[in-house]
Amino acid sequence: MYENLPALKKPRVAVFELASCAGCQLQILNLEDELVDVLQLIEFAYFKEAMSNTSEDYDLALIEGAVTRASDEQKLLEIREKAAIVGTIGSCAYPVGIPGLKNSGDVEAASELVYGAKAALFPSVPVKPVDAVIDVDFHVLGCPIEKDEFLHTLTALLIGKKPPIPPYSVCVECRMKENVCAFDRGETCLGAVTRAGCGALCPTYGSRCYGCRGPADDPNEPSLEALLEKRGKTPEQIAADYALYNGYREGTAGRREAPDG
Amino acid sequence: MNVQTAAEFILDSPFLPRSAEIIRKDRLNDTETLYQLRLMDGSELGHLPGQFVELSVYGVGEAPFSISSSPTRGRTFELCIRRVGDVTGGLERLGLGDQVGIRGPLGRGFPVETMRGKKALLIAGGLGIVPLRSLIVNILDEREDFGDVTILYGSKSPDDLLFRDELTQWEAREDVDFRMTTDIAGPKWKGNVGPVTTLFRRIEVDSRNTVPVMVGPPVMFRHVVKQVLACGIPEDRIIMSLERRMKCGIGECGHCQINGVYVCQEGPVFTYAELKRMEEAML
Amino acid sequence: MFDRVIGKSDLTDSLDNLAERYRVVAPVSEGTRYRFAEIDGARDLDEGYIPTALPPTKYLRPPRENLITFAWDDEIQVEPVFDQSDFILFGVRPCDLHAIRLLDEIFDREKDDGHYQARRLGASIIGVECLEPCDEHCFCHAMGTLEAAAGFDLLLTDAGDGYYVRVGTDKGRQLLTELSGAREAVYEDRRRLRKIHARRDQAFEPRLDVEGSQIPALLADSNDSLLWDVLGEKCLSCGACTNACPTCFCFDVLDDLGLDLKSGTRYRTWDSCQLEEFAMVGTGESFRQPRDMRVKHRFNHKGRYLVERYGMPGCVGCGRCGRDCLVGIDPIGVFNQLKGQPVERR
Ligand SMILES: Cc1cc2nc3c(=O)[nH]c(=O)nc-3n(C[C@H](O)[C@H](O)[C@H](O)COP(=O)(O)OP(=O)(O)OC[C@H]3O[C@@H](n4cnc5c(N)ncnc54)[C@H](O)[C@@H]3O)c2cc1C
Ligand code: SF4
Ligand code: SF4
Ligand code: SF4
Ligand code: SF4
Ligand code: SF4
Ligand code: FES
Repeated sequence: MYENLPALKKPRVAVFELASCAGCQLQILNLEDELVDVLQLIEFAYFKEAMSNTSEDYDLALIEGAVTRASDEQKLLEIREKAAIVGTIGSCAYPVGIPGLKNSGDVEAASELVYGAKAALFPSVPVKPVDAVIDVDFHVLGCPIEKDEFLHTLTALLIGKKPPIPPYSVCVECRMKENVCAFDRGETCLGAVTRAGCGALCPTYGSRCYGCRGPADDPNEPSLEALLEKRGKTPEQIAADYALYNGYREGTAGRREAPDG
Repeated sequence: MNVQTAAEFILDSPFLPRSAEIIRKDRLNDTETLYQLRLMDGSELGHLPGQFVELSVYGVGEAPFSISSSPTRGRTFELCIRRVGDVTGGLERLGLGDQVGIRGPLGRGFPVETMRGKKALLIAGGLGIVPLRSLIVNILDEREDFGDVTILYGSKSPDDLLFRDELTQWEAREDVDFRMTTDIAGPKWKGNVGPVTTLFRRIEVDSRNTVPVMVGPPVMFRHVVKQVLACGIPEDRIIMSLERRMKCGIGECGHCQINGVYVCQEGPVFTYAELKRMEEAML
Repeated sequence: MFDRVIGKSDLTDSLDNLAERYRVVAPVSEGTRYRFAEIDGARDLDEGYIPTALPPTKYLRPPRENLITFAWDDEIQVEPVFDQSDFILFGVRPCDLHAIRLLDEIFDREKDDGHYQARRLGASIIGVECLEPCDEHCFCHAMGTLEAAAGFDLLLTDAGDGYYVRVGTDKGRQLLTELSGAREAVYEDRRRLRKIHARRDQAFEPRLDVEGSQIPALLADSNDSLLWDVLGEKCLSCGACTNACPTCFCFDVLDDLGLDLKSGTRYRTWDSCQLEEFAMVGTGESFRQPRDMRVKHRFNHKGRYLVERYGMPGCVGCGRCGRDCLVGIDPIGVFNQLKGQPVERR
């Protein structure tokens, strides 16, 4: 029964790292209870955090991290050539996350800050998400990724379904958890325009949503921004809030107004 | 507490499908496949033309599909399915002998009984031929019960025409006026080119005794309804079948609502008179 | 004849007893917010609660509810899943009792939905009447839902030193035996109850400029109102309103496949007509894409379609949606504005 239902059979998986903290790769290693089952379903061809052997022969590529150097772009193009399916893991790869903060300021200044006098040796470009360079088939979102969401993505890919990614906003999940809303605590929150899937993790622990999963499919940003302003946020603060995880989107939109754009 | 506990009750799930086996699979086109199915318990589906089923590819999900075969054709039934996503893609990877889940027949079908003795004007656009085929075959199998039968079928291009063998048979029949058209011509196409409405000019409609039945995309409805009304056919005799997002198929989940109406339950077959009042019908 | 009166400390003791032997859920507080949760005894309960974040109906139709399990080897095996465990739902307010009546009508009587019936049969519902409005958002009085008519097994009314207890069902009559220290109500108690109700009716001043019974007509007449555009611009499509609503029942159905790729669960999960994807079909076309149409649909579904279909209020005036809406879309304001300016047309 259902012999041919699976769309992928024991794919060879390669995990690549660009600019990131490697936390999402760790989440995969932390699967502990499920790792044995997972290894029945896939085979790792390349996974630097976990094993030493490396193979150039893989079907499914998982990319962690943001594009911060010209050489990253080259690497991505090669991966896209080799892999039948390419997905990202974590906020650095999409929407661009913490590395994207570099875009809020001067890129060269950022290089100097990090590499000092050797900055010229490491040509740095404005930070981009992976899908700004190559086509991406799916995103596993989050900072770091959620274990369950990763597993669901995996089973979906194997059985031939679209990986689950909620189109709606964090508020939907937050309200289902009966959390006290950040706005009712006198704070503000980006949950209303941010894609769900994390189970409203941050508001559930008394914090607020920072937008780490990028925009939802149908965000009403003007309305949220009007609300944020009404709650006393300055335009600069609102821009900074967005930039924390969505620096690429915000930054690129800003640059579009530049003379050469 | 001396109360009867919940566990003592025997309950039924409206979500429990019956198993059906795929016994035939014909590729009709790049994206459309015709599946012939048989319920594992040996029973007949017992549907009316125009009704639909919810089909499960377990592990992938469940989706609604019109029943394309006629109830006059015995213990199997057919679905004609376009590959667009998860369930439809998963189904395509299944083989003969694989089992799917079936809930239904669901919804309100075409008014076959009240159509008996009357003339039938059957109009299909695109995939609309899939549910309409059930009615067409039913009428042709019981031909003597019905008056004149006119069938108009429009598709995007000659390559998109479905059920080609049957189309040829319908075309050959003396007791049926069958016409087709395609929006764009193809190299070998000698037939009519243009939307279904262009076929309309060539037929005569007896406004007193004709029941028009149409299934197709919203744009087709808008134009064809105008023409049918112009022939003097009353609004409550114009029959149309709609498509909406559906999940449960039983009037619970809310997805298929048009204003206050559940398409899965009160439809998918409606009269124009019923739909006209509803803004969200988008006619 | 079955009415009882129970002293407050007797009720507390009874609840403690019940909680020892059964699963009891009741309103508890968390700062400014209340919710229904399992309690260990009466001390966990917060009596001053106003409508909870999620309605108590979450125990009858949980945010995620398994429907069937499936597995395959040579054959496909499919089994329905019913949660038939017994529990006591304590402290349900009249508005929510009316919501339960509506859900009963739909999921039990009309649809014969075993998944709902399982939970409903397992629930023993003890309602508590409201004697004053909970806050500025509620308008149950106008919707005719302040008076609890059915939907409860027992109904309690605070009578100062104790509670007046009314019985709604056979199950409720059985439950009376669990109320230790309760005595049969006498004429004087019933007279007192009438007075309490008279005082209550005074306490709920009208908040709607339109009679509850006129709302369907008002909405039918407001199809082209400009107000929908205004609300559509504001609405965040966050689904807070539909999640919070005790009479919202829309859902999505999804399959969850195990890591063996051979077995799994089909479940339903709350969905909302306020979300864009809700009415999307095949080609990505959505039949209710513009936000103003979605907001209009919600108000019409609550205020008109459900009333027309089931002959009972679709909105029970609990005020939750208005309380939770970050941009202030509150049914009181919406109905009053529609009433006040029906001439403003697109
Ligand atoms: C009454 C009825 C009869 C139908 N009859 C046929 C038929 O005979 N043949 C046929 O090929 N198709 C038919 N359809 C359409 C068919 O149901 C959808 O193509 C199918 O649900 C897509 O499922 P999927 O999992 O493959 O796609 P998904 O992966 O779920 O999604 C692909 C796209 O389909 C849309 N979609 C998802 N679920 C539904 C749904 N339940 N209804 C409509 N769109 C949906 C999504 O918005 C998405 O854009 C019918 C639909 C209805 C409502
Ligand atoms: S805390 Fe944030 S995510 Fe939660 S409901 Fe409020 S705005 Fe939405
Ligand atoms: S609540 Fe917001 S910031 Fe927190 S994990 Fe979810 S999407 Fe990310
Ligand atoms: S709670 Fe308010 S903002 Fe959110 S969907 Fe409902 S009406 Fe729109
Ligand atoms: S629509 Fe609002 S006020 Fe009415 S029942 Fe629902 S949540 Fe309560
Ligand atoms: S249609 Fe909307 S308002 Fe009505 S029950 Fe469903 S989610 Fe609630
Ligand atoms: S499909 Fe669920 S209500 Fe119609």
